[in-house]
Amino acid sequence: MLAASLLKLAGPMQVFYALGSTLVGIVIGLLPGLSATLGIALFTTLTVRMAPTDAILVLVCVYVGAIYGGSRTAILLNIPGTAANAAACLDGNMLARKGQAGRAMGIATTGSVAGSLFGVLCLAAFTPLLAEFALRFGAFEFFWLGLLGVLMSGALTGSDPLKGWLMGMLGLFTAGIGLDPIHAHERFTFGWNELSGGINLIPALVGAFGFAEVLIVMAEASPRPVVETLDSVLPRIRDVVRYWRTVLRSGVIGVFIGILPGVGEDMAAWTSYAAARRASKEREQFGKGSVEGLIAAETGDNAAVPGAMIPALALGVPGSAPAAVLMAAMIIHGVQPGPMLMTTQPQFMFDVVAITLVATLAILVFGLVMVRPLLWVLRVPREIIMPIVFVLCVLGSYAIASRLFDVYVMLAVGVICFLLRRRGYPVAPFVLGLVLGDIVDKSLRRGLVLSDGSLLPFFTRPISAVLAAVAIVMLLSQVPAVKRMMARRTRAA
Amino acid sequence: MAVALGWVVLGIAIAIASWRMDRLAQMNIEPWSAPGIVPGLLGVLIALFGVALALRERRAGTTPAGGAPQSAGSSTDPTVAVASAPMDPRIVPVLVLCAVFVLGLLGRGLPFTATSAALVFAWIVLLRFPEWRAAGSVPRGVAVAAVIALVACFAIAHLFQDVFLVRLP
Repeated sequence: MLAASLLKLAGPMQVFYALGSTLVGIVIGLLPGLSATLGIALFTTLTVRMAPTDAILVLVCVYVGAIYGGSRTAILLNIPGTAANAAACLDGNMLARKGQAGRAMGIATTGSVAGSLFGVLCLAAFTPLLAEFALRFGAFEFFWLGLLGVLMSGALTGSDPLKGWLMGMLGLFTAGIGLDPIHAHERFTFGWNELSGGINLIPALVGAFGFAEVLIVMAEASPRPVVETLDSVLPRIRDVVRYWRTVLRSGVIGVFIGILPGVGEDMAAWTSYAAARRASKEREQFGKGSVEGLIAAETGDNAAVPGAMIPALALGVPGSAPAAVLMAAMIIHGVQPGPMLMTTQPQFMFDVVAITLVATLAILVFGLVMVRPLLWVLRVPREIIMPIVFVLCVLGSYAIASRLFDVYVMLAVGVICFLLRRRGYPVAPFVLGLVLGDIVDKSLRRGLVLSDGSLLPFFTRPISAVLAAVAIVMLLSQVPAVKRMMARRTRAA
Repeated sequence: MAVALGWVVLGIAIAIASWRMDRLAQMNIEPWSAPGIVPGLLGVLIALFGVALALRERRAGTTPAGGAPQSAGSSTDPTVAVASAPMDPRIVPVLVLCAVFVLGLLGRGLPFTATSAALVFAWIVLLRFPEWRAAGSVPRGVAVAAVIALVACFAIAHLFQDVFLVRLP
């Protein structure tokens, strides 16, 4: 089946789509402020009329390209191109300052390709297993899974779990505006016809990750200088062979964190980096230009990309914010991710595996041959790039349904997210809430109807009990009294 | 503190509106599937989290923009850096330009390519003008801005309309 999927991608148009969209993804990743989520959201609007496989090919290539492209900015500017590349700043930029920017980029390319390949293997191996396991899930389990995704994203993607959870709850609430999915009763529409259809996901995402990012970039006082000198970008085999354990460990961590609902690539990079530092014999080099540190960070975040697709395909619960948009795009193209996917459209999972493999090969090609031309993008002033991105945000929001209302939604969500981000509120939990709002709403009410109003099955069914325990522990761990008690116990131990 | 209290007010407002929402009893709908249940619970949670945030900020005595100190192992959604970075005052004209474009020009019968080119041109000129004036290159800068705006917006409009078959606003 994988061979059939690969054959589908061998046509000249598919090769063109793969290379073109990976290149665009890398450019999006390169530009500080433009995220993988924005790239996928904008391209979702552009690919609405394409064949489903071609559209998903474009979107996955943008996703993989953007996560990889951000490492360039991290190395040369000491600014993460995307949040996923923040860990790469520590050692990547130090290597660049030592005159080894090319070597750092070669290492980033190697780590990204290795992590992505490892992730692709896991995507092919674990998605069917997880989907089969998820066939046992009912409304009770899906409720906890959706809620857990939002709570986990809130707890781990920002600096303050409380603020993350508030954003997650706001996302869940916003998803409920419009016609109620069970009885088609209007909720919070205030008699406004346009709101009856609800807040369209893509314009809201373009606002949260596009317009808000444009405002964030424009609000920054001054850009940082680019490291201009480059040595050879060809990866040194010695660097890879020497740190094969780090590559493997970071791949496993990246995939695992990718699978966790709503956590994402940035956490994968940081955890891989921290694990590599703990296990390293050269830990004093970390933060001072460590090859091992850079390879760990880049392997971790790229392995999380296919990892985040595993729960999106198998459970219908995305592993990261970009995967959430990708999942929304799949639904637009008539693919319903979730446990039944392997029964109704088994070939689709292999299509995604093949597409991610092709995207990985594309970043290898661009990583080796397009370094210097791509760096030109970093020299274009933000005052020129950002208004063009804003025009794309406007058109992207409008394109889905040809409604001006969607552009107003993009504008409003963008301004609100900009102001909240200035106050330290993360946006990813809001997006997860928007995507998972429907599943949480329907599952809770269906569960209550099935149990005749009893909450017991939510806590007594085996899988529900585990998911509920994780959610409750996560919430309790942020209660100040519990935190103090845990700190006392840690000190005593 | 003001933002935390804002969350509390929002949560309470959502909870009250959900409580008052039609439960569809006249249609013999199961009370446990009433449309207001989930928004109501979310409203209560938002209010509770808002109270927790307000209490924490009150205890801390200040309202830290970046929230609690980052714990070891937590990720760096760059919100922390964003929150603590000084804000460029040029953000105000940018916001005004965006609002005027979307609310005042879009969908009023004006050609999209022209209005979007005008927006891009105004944005570039407004923000780069001091730099050009200092370098004595205002006419050149304005000309380059006009070319960039026209080329970029024509290309975007062509891409959406002719390649991806999307109707322009």
